[in-house]
Amino acid sequence: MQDIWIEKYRPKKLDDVVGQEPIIERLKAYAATKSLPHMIFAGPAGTGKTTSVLALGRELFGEETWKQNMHELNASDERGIGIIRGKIKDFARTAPIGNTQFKIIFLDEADSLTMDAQAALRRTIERYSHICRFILSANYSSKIIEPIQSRCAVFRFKPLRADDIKKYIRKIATKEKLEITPDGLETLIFIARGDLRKAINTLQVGASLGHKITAEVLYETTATAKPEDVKNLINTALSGNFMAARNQLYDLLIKYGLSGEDIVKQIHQAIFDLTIPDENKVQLIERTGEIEFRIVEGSNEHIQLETLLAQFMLIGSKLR
Amino acid sequence: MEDWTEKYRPKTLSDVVGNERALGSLRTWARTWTGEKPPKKKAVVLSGKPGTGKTSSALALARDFKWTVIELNASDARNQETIKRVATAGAINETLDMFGNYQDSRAGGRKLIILDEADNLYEKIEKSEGSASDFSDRGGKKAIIETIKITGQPIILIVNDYYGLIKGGGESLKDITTVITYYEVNTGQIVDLLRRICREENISTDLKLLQLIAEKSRGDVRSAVHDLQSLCIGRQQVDVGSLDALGYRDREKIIFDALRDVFKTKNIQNLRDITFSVDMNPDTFLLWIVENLPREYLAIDDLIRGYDAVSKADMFFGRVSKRQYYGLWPYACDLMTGGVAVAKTRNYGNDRYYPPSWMKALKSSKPVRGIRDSVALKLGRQCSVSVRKSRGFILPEFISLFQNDIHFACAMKRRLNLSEGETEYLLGEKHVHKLKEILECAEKTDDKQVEIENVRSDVKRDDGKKEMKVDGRQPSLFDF
Repeated sequence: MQDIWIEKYRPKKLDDVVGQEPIIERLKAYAATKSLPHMIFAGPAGTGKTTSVLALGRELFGEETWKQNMHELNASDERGIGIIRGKIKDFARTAPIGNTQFKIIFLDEADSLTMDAQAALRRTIERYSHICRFILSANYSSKIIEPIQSRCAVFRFKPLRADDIKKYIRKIATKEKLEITPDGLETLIFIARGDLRKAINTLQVGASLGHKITAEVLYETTATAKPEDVKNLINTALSGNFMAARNQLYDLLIKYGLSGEDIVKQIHQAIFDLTIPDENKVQLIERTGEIEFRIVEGSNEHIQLETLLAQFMLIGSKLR
Repeated sequence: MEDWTEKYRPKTLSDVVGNERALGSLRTWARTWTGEKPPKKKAVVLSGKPGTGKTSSALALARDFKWTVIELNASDARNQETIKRVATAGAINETLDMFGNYQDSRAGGRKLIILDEADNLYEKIEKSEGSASDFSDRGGKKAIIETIKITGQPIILIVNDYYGLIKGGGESLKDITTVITYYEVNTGQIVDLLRRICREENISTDLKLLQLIAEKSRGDVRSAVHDLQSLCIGRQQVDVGSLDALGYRDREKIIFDALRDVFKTKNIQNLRDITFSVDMNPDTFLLWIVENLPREYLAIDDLIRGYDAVSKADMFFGRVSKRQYYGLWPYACDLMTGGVAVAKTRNYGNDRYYPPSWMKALKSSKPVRGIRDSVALKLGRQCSVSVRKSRGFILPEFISLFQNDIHFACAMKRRLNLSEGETEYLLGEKHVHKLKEILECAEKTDDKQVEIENVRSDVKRDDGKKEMKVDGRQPSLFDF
């Protein structure tokens, strides 16, 4: 194994992008006519947003110049107003290279930009429209301010269908000479929940253990390699050992560097897999939502998450 | 009145208080400079907490060896040009001494370049982790490395945080410098120094007072001398009584008393002023309360109510910092003290309180987090995702792959240009025995790869299909 598969098997052409047919059809038309609007790509992780942008750029500008004419920025890495004023402007105001009217600025995770930065972005978009197209990606388009939304065509990427993921996974399996059993394939679909990146990542970890991919192998990879799993955290809290749960939480935040928001979302997801009565699940979901709100509003994520752990401990104690 | 920390700054190495071993190493290094040629290690890094004598011993060393000092401070303009110009000019050019006589450095007139607060050169990296702007200060680090390589003069780098110096591009500093660690100076030695100062200043005092000052300084000589001077101004006699007048009491005792009030009493009126009595920001005091909350409130319903109060207090702190409106602080304070106090329905026997383990965990994991984030950045660039996503959603699987498959590890070591430290981090304790093999194989494959490429370009066969190239250099999305 010499590559990271999510890179190796990232589709290069729009035609090869998995799923999202109506969106791809539009993008192909844009590439053919060499004209496109500003766009927002909204949707969950691993559904092809970044891949589509890159493939679009390749087809639009050609192999020679696509890199020079595209600029990718990760908004969550540099979320301040500074990048809008600095980097984006610097790139936006220079002329495109080759036979093209405009360049593309791809702003990934644009929903993590502050309101100020978004407001500044709005002016930048208008000012450089004659020479630049902006593509913003976000998990939720509603986190992008209205004035920007109204200047963009919003494309909603859906979680990938199980069949589409299966097809792609089989393709990779053939290329990598892997044998994947039917139950292995089903397990992969279950783990991925519509996120192709996750499916491919998990497949690769499985493949690093052997050439036969079974459900067992996959469960092993997800179970053994993951002290960072929030499920452990939840179970410790449910069992009533608060201090141990708190230490695990600190590890997740500090050692593994997960953000409070990531953890709270994963907790939300994991609640459904718990073996507790549904009414307790609903209670916990309500508390989890409240805590996510407080994380956004507050200043110390860990204090808020500890508050949530106490809630799990309470439910755990009632069930015992 | 002259500043005592300057007035009593040691004139020679043997006057420096504490850290005997460090001073010995420093002296040994300086002696290697007395020969004709510069030694192998042309620079040392003095690393340690504030007030442990780093700058003082560097200056004293220069005096002892009769070296001229060129001091560059972090507060000077810190960029590539400045550092290079000043340091290399001083380092390689022979200059005139203060009387205008030509000074040949080989004739003993060496110039010692002291780069103080060298870890602060890169503070931008800390603030905006992973952002591209963090490279803007990299020039400074590079310039230091280059300067050390070409200098003909001794260089001393002074840092509080050695790790801050060597991370992110500074790794090669490990090879070209010697680290000398300074530890907190022990109380007895500080007391001796304070006594000497009092004698010189003709101030009568009692030992108890000096002891308290020394203890409070926690091994920071500068702050001890400072405190002594601020107590002595305008006095010929000081004793323990003068301490109280300055509100100078045992910080820890105050915190523990405050915690006891919060957890043991219920009268919120009495708790109102408590946040003023502790010598820290209310949001820090909140961390102390949170740390001890589950240790005190063992009944689950009390714990739930207590946490709800601190959670709300934290929201107010969040609002304060987002809007920069400190008018909301009192509400946060009342919630975290009074709110926690009334949350209890019974009394607990607990009488042991602890400092925030959150802060301790943050501090002790700082080096590891730095390495983790630099790996996440490299990986994120490769897979075109942010550091946050890379850390949360790609790194865990990547680590498994790295540990399971040595060929993969070896290929990634090269492709992502992982340092030895980063490779070690990815392997973890369990797989660290593979480190050597990976390092070796990453080098070997490098040579082979070159051969293959040469053959290819010679023969130029028509491959027709565009397969994954064997050169393994899968371009990242935007290489520029």
